[in-house]
Amino acid sequence: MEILECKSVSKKYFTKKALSELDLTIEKGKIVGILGPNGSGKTTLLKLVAGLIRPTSGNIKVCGNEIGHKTKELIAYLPDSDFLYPWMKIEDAKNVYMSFFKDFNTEKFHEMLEFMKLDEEMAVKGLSKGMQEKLALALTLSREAKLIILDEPLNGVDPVAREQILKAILKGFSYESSMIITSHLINEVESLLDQVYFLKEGKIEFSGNTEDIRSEKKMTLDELYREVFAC
Amino acid sequence: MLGRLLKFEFWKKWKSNRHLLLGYGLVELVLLLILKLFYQNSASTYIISTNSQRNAGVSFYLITALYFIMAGILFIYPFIEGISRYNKDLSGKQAALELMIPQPSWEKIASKLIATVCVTIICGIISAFTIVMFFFVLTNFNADIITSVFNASKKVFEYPAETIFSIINGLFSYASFYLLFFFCISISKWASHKNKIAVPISIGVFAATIAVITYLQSLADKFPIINYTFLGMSSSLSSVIVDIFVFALTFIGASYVMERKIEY
Repeated sequence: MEILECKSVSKKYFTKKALSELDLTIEKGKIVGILGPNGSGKTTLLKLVAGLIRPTSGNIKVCGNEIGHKTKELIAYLPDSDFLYPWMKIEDAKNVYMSFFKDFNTEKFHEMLEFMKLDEEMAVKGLSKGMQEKLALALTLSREAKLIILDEPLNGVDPVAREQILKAILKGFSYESSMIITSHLINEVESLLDQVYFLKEGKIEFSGNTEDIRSEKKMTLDELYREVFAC
Repeated sequence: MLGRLLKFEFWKKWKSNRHLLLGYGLVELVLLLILKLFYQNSASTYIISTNSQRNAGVSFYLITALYFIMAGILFIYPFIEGISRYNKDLSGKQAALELMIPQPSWEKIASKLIATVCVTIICGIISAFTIVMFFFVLTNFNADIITSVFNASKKVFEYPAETIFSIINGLFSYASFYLLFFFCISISKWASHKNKIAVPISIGVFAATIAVITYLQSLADKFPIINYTFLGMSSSLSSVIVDIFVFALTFIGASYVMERKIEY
């Protein structure tokens, strides 16, 4: 079953082309990596799918539905920047998710918090960058959404926390859904990915199944990335 | 779902402004205590109770002015805070959370509008209470002052129909004006998230919309359909239609832009 289908998707910001004629399909139960250098269009693609921005041309469907406020129910999106109010406590953030997202699993959230060593009484403004990232991830992964989108979940996080986040991603993933991850830290996320898309200047430069890449090209994703994006 | 959005809006306002409200209460209380303790037996009480021009000292006037300015600020604060919050909800750090909520934009706009109108009413009541307390406390709860305030409040209940009409009319005008700001901000944020660009656009759209509304009102005055006078105010059916039309248009416009054009 196709969870996400992008057909000839383009996005322009005034005269600057961020994405160009992009085709992409994601099947149920897959974890897909969108990899590429800064400015390659990764975040733009994720925002398009999350419904935060609109394509200039082309068509995006999530579970067969055109992007709109209804598809937001099907998508759990982790933005690449802070999005919680600083005056919130973790409990407040949980309550917001509980009231607006029917698929929010409170039990799973509590498990995640325990796993991440976070307490519901902690205030968002008192959390370090890594802890904020963990909280945002716990909120996102506690939703039983059809499509989970994680934009740079490892950004600015120390190696120990990184490991914990990766474990949490695996722990929180259900094969009933699909996941898109973007990251610069290819070595770190490589083991998670079933499929990759390499984006360069808004176009797909390379795509494939990670197992096939490793067996056919005898390369790790990181090595292939360096080859594809070498100047 | 509108209920949940409303609860969220009230909750956001309470969480982010409760310290300000507490601060307001404390400052007003301190000012009132200063006036009570240091000016109780001076000319001030005489001035308030007899409305005479006797000199009570500059400091008395300054503290009194500060007291009333604070009450005035509290009254207009919800309007300014609502506008600023809407601006941030569309392009600030928390815009992602706001735009991720799987609800149609008209519900989001309606909840923001209702929440701000309600908070304005609450702040208005607190402001009025603060002012009434000023006169009560500084006149040592003078019987004449209490009676005049009581009589003034009684009048409100003596004419319930007129009171209700005035309240509805006032709230509608306030909500319309507030929606106009939503509409202008939405259009400007559609053009750009950068304040340097968005603010002039917003001002331009505001001026243009006011010009259009003024033109429509002048048309309504020329073709009144039915003229009537209510509570001493002359109006016409055309004018009411224009008001409702402008309200609907700004509401639909702001919702449409938020749903289809705002990008984060």
